[in-house]
Amino acid sequence: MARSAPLESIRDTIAARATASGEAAIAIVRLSGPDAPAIAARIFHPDQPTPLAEEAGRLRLGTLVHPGTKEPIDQALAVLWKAPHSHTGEHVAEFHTHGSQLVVSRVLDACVAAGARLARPGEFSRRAFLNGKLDLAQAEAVCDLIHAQTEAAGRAALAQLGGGLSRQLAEARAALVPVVAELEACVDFPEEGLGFQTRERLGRAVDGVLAQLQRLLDSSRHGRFLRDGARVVLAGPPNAGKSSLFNLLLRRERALVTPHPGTTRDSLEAEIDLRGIPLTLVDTAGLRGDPEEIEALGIARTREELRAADLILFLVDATRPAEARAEYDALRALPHLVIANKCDLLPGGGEAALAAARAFAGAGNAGTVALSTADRHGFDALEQQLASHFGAGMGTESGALVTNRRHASALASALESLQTAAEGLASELSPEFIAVDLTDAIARLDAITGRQSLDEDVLDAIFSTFCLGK
Amino acid sequence: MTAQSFDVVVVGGGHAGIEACHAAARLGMRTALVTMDVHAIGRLSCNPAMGGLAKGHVVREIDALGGLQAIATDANGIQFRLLNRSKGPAVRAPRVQVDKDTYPEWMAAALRRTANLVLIEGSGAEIHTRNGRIAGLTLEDGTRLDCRALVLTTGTFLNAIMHCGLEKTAGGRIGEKASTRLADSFLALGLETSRLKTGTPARLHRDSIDFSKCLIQPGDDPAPPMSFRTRRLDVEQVPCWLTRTTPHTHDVIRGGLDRSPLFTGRIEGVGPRYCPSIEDKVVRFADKDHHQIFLEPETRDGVSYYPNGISTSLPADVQEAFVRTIPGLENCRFIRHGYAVEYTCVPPHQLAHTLETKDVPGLFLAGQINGTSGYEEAAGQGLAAGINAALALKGEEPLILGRDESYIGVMIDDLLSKDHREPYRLFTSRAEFRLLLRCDNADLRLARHAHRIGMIDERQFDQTVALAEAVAAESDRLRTTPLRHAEADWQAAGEIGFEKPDHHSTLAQVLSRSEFDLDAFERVAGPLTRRLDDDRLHERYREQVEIEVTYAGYFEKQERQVARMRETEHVRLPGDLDYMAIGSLKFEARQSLARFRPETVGQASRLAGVTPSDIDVLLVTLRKRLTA
Repeated sequence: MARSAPLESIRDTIAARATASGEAAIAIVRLSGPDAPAIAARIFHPDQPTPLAEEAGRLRLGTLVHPGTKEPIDQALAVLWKAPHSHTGEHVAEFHTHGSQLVVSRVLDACVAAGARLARPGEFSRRAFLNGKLDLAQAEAVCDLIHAQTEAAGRAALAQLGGGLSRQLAEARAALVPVVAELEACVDFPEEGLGFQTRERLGRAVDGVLAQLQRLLDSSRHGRFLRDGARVVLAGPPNAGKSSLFNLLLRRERALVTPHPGTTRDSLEAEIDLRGIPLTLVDTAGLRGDPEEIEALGIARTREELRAADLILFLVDATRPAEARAEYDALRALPHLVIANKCDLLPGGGEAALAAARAFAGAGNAGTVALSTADRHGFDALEQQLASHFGAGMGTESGALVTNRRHASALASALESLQTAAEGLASELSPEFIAVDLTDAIARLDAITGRQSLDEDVLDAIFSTFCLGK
Repeated sequence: MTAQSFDVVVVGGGHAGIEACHAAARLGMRTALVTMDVHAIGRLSCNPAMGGLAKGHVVREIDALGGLQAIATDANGIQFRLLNRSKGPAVRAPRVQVDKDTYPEWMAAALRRTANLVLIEGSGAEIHTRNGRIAGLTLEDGTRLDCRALVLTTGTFLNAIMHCGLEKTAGGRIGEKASTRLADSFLALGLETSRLKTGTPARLHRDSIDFSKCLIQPGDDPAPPMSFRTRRLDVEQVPCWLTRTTPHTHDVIRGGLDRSPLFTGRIEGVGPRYCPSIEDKVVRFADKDHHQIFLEPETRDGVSYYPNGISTSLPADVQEAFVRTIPGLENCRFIRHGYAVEYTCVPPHQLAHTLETKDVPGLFLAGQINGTSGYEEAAGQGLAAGINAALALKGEEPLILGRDESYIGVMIDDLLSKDHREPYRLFTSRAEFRLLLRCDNADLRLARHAHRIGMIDERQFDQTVALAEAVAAESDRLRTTPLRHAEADWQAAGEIGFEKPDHHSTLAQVLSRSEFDLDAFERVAGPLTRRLDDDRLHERYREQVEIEVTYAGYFEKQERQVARMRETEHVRLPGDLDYMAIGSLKFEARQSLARFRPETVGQASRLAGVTPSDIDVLLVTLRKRLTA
């Protein structure tokens, strides 16, 4: 249909960062709504067996986990308050995590994957007010807050919408509206001899938009790195040169934070700025202190670090690659670069090291770099590889990056609906069912750009394309 | 002259006026219908057909709510079809050719039989108010009618001008005059008005048409009735015929454009995109070398044919010249020429969902005066206005049909919540909950309302409830019974191509599979359990079970969307809220809210320029106002 049903409920369970953004020691992510306990149960695994919901109001220690990939995100404290005894008057869950924007971002992703939606500006306050948790005198303040935050978010979104993204969304819409128009014309004007023999053509149009939006969403991965940074973990056998590379990267790049020994992770972390992308470097070298620890806790924690990494830099001693084999095979399915270090010690130098690295990595499509942490040979190439992996500079070049979380979320929903529509077009499904998903997809794109005129646009398209009517 | 006293006076005997006066009278109101000519009651001014997509849905809803249009259609139908048979149930719709002579006679007789209703021949002249409320109406002959509610369904007659070529005549329909005095009195009430345009083609003489050059289009056999109440139709059907314009036709039309009132700027009113004149089609779709034309009989036995597809306001000589280039119409004689009408209408954002004007209590508007097009749209509004006029006078809750309940509700909400550039007609695409609003379930959707207000009797209500219960019980059984518990006939299953039965499948899952229709399903899994006494009801029971079970997934998804919409649908917005003073609303939102003055937060959320954040602000503001 040309008109979309409401996309959001005023009672959805919503999620947002509750503390100011920017780096701080602790960040709080808050969930509010009827499904808050269920969502919290799906993403937070307490260390002690009692479920969170059975100990309302108590801070609990545990692990945050993405419900889809089961990847651990962070050690965190969590607390649940039951309605109406909460700040919004609804069920509320809070997660106190490490303050990095990257962690917060992942927690929000996990909340959405578990069934929450991102809160609109001021929405927590609106709920608190309507549930009698705020004084009547605060009504104006709540309205002002909604207004101010909406304006601010709108300005920010608009800035991100500039140029490439809005053009791409307009193109996608311009390709989809005629498809809806054709389905609708065929439904509403059965006597005009339009028939519906054009499934394949319409299917191709939808497939084209699917591919385009998929690229756009993929670019949001880079967008996310730009916004939230990325976690880069150094791994490899002892003495492959992890600490040397860690220090090299740290000295070369602008260090945002001085290295500090990890307190919860027994690893060394530092934040650097790589051509505009904030990277958290993690050196698992910290695990090497006590042999007992390596055996027990250490290995498990290293594994956890590796799974949480956006990229693993796997260092191999180019003179003794076989030593790294077992460790490498355990992580080769994760995103990684193979770095053949100590190429200065090989007779063939960098080229021989690169060949060794490629032979080592085998058939996979892992990137490979030859490096010497001793004389810095290959360091520029490594930096270049890192930058291109995280899409540094893409924001300005293609201008089509999705960096706004709400945009990315809307885009993902649109893709899901489009996929269903494409399947419908490929089958014998009657057009009115296909129109449901297509309309939903367009409405989600429109939610990004703020357009509201879908029904009229479809009617315009119907009557300008087809000569209809008595 | 002493005044006659009524509860409700309805002005205009068209499709809106009929349903309005019939409903008000049926709900016990002493009602008068004022019409210029009792023989013109229910006249089909344009094409001789009822129904089609979305429109047929409305006729079914009118039927479910106790209105007349569907039974009148069945009683006077000469060709019956169900459109979109090959598509899903939500977009199948009945369309019926009706006899243009007998339909008005039938309607007038039905109204004469209606208790509490008086038919008065005359023209409205002056509207009276007392303390801002409707008090009565004086007719042109001086007759004074006192009333507490006035329903205006004057169609195209307010300040109407007819165009045929460059000739202009005052009048709302060929041979009938315009309502100018009433228009003046109406304008004095201070409502905003605008101008719209519509048109109708020539009428052609049967004996001058060479049908051998046309393609025959017969009705469906058996004839699918419009009304739920029609048990069976024994009717001999009359065919329609299909022909088309030719490149030569288009040349002739282009040659006459310099005398077209449309293309010379004489017509200022905006015509509908969905009902373009043939000159419009030829200009806008210059690359199309033909346009199809349905030749529809206007009566069973008469000589007049309606050429559907060539509505025009070109001069008479150009009309004759271009029509005679069409295969089958080479020698055709004109019974009358096509013409366009420009008329005054009332932008309907000035109405509440009851169709009562927001600023003149007691004044209701329905039909073309609200800027709509179509007999069905008019009748749907007329019914809503008549019912609500009566409910208001009785002090009962109004009947506001939701967008999730009916096309009538979709239409009224659309009318009130948007600015309209052209006459409004319904399309199924306008209904966001289209899959739920089907022709086949109109009575199941609306019986509760119809019964609550008293538009249907106990027997009809009980029957509908029994049908709904039987369907629900059987659908439940199919959803919860595994195939292995049913005594399946595996040989029959094999014949159908259902080879690998998964014993965990429920009967519902089996029925949903594409290789099964209900008959095949019953051969494998046994018959449905209930047997309803009445044959048509039993057929409907089988149909509903099949639809409910087969499309359950889609319906559940739409039901969830309905639940979302309903959240803010009942939150009422006071009419005196000063939106311009709410600084936290975006400026665009403030303007839109101030113009449309929505009745509920739900309606507000559908206005252009109003965002979810504005709705948050409205909810907070409302709460403060209600509690303070």
